[in-house]
Amino acid sequence: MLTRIIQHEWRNLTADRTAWVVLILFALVIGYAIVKGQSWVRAQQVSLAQMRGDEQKRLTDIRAEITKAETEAARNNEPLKYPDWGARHPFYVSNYRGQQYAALPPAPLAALAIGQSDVYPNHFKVSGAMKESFMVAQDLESPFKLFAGHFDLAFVILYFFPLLILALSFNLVAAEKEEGTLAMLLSNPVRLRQVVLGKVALRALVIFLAAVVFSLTGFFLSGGRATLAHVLLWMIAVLAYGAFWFALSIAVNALGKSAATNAVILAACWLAFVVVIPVVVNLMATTLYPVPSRLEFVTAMRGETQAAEQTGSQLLGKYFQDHPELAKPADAKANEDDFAMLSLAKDELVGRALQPVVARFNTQLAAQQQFINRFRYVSPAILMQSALNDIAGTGVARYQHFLAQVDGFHQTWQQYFKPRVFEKRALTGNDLNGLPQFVWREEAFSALTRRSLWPGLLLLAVAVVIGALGLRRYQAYPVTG
Amino acid sequence: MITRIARKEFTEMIRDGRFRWAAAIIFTLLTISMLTGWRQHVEVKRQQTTAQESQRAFWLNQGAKNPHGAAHYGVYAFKPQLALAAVDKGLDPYLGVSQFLEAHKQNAAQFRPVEDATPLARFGELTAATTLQVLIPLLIILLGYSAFAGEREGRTLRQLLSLGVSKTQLTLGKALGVAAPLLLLLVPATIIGVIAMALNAGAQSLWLSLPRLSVMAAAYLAYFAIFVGLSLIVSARASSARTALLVLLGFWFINSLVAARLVTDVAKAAYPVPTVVEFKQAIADEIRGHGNWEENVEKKKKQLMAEYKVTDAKFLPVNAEAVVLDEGEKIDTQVNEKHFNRLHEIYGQQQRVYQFGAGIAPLLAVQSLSMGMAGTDFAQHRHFARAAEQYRQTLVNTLNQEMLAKGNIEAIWDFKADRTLWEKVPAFDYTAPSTGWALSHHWVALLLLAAWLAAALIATPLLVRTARID
Repeated sequence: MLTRIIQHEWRNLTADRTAWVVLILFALVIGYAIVKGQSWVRAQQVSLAQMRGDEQKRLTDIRAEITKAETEAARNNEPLKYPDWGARHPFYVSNYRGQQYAALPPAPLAALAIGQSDVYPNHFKVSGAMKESFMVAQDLESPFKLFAGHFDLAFVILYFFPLLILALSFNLVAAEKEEGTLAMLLSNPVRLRQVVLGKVALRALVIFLAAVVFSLTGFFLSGGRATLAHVLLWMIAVLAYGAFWFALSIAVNALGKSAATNAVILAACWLAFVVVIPVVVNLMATTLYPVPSRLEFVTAMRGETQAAEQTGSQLLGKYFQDHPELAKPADAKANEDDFAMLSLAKDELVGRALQPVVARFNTQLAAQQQFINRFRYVSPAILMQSALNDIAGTGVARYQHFLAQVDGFHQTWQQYFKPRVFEKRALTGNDLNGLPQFVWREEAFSALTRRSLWPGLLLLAVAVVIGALGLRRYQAYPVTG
Repeated sequence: MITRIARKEFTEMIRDGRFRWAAAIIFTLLTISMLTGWRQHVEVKRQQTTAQESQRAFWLNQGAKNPHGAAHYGVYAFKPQLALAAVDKGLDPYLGVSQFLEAHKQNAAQFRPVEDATPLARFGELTAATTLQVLIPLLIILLGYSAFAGEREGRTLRQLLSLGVSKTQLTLGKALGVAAPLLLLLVPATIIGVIAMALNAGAQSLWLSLPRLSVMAAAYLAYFAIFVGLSLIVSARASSARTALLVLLGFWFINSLVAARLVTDVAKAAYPVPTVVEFKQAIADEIRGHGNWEENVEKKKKQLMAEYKVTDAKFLPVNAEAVVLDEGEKIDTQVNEKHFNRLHEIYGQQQRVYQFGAGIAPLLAVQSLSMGMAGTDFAQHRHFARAAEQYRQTLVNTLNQEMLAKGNIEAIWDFKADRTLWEKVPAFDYTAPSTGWALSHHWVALLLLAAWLAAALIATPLLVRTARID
């Protein structure tokens, strides 16, 4: 029976020109979105290549300078002295000329959801100075683009997809009733519930097929770096979101109102869930848990730097107290003015004093995020946004993972040069061969699955509940009145 | 006659449950957004004043230091917010809040608020401006979609016209009938907003912002009038009320959510922005092209020795290194200016494309004007960045002149200046540009909004007059 209804519905739908127009429009929109996402990822990859080129060039220059100084000293039979500055000075290389980039490569499905990748920095020029000096976002993306938002696949899914579903299913039963064919239809040995299910099943089949095709397109466009598991996660999220809107349609149709009223109710639902509620929840979160001002952060940083500078001659003394392994008592007096040593000592002092300020910042931001996590269940759009961002690798979690790795690399970088600065050991070619490199380690797939599968399954469950309740209501549907 | 029609429409709408709910929700959102906006503004203003004063204190109390050390220590400049920024945050969340002013380079503003927000912020900020720009048109559509289509379907339109009511009178009456409930909502909200502004920002601030506020209000009223006209036209020409609603909602959707994204895509494609790596490398390469420090000092020594006709550098009346520092600084400034200006030009061109986009979506025009009047557009950010850069040049120049004035001393890098020198650098004092200046950067948006309004005013009676009666 169900298959017969589905076949009939297919014939009905294909005969209706507007349905084709809507689907073709949707296909065009998705095509545009995927192209835009691809160009975004390509721009990121170009930027990464430029970074690697810049790094290589600087390293080559440094190596050349070191070799030149060494060969010249060998030729003149002079001993190599510790340099005042230049490529052989460890501080010069670690903080001024030899900095390494720590870069976050785009995830396999990054073209599908631009997410936060336009706002969070995807690279840092790691130097030996304190973290706060180089871990600043320095992107030149146009503020207009950030303001307007991106036309990526996630946008299409969050905003267009529900409208498509509602447009195809708002008059599921109401149309038959208004045309006068409902009574005749139900005079056959078939339940209204089955009819509705059949109609929804066909529309769902068509739409979900479209979703699968486009997701696979995204998969192939990513050059095959995405695993089937990634694509599966994406599709589960999209299908769960679609299921929610179909269920809503079923429930609203069951109220027995006219098609026009259905349209208004469903449009109001879309407005509430996708446009109004996310914005209101964000306002609540930012009002209840405002993030501390960056101005205060800058002022605190200035204050600590000035305080550190004004400890003057005691600065190094205090530093050696904390790091006895670096102190060389014989050279204490001569080191007093060493720019590199003073700089490193000052950085550590200021960095440590700033830790509570940074911690307060992160705590407040985490509190804001926690509030949102509690309230995200009020709207499927909020759930979907974080799920899609996570799967595409442009969400907060992957970025935090990146920050942690940058932190670790920064410490490794500092540790490589610090002993050389304090022991006044010049850099050699061998030292350059052993320079620490930033190696990006993607987070475990299981962590991603746990984060992004859960909202999808929850949404699916909610959809099933709403759909079931709606279907039950059809028993009391006013077929003729 | 017109007022009679309007009064009937008004009464009918007021009694409609859907309108009541929609109006109540929008009024609540409007009030909440205004109150939180003003509270935030007061807080931000306090933070900025304190932070800028602290910067001055840090600068004056930095102790005895070599002037070039002080030039590297630098100063932070913070962009102040205009009072009306509480109404429209505009581009502020996407523009940096602090600019570091130091020797040898120009820095872009750092710390965009959007970086410190959660991804939920990308759905949009709830401000009075966004409520007015996105939700009020929906209300207008709800009020007006069945103005003619509903009458036609109810078969009352022919009856009405048979009474001797002209179509123009009917149109005006319907328009008034849509505008009246809207004003019922907007007038109290505006009064609450103005009172909140007076209480939070101060009466004087309110008085000073009056020109900007007037232009903003005019822009929004024009925008609403455009939507009223559009609703009436579609209602009259559509085949049914349902079609009218669908078409209007479709236009609203494209206007509010899609147009801006497409237009900025076009802007980005037409005027691409360099990557930050490219940008910095270009500046560094060009500066390096002017030679390195040691070479330049040697060259300058030879040049000065020839000029002053001395045989050894220590007989020179000026210090070669101080001279090279001064000249080098001027070169650095020039190179940085060139590249930053080019970057800002690109943004400016993108701003113009955005305004031209108003040709397809009136939202873009009212957004530009609203941002411009609130002081949160790119033009005014650039104005601040330029002022900060001028101040940076003054600061570094004052310090470099002190180095030059010392003459040819041996310890040019070791001598320490004190507070008397720091005080020679004035405090950073920024005045926001005038309303006229702000408006001049949005003339395209103004023109297109006026064009839309004129089209609505002319086309509405015209298209209604030629519409079907049943």
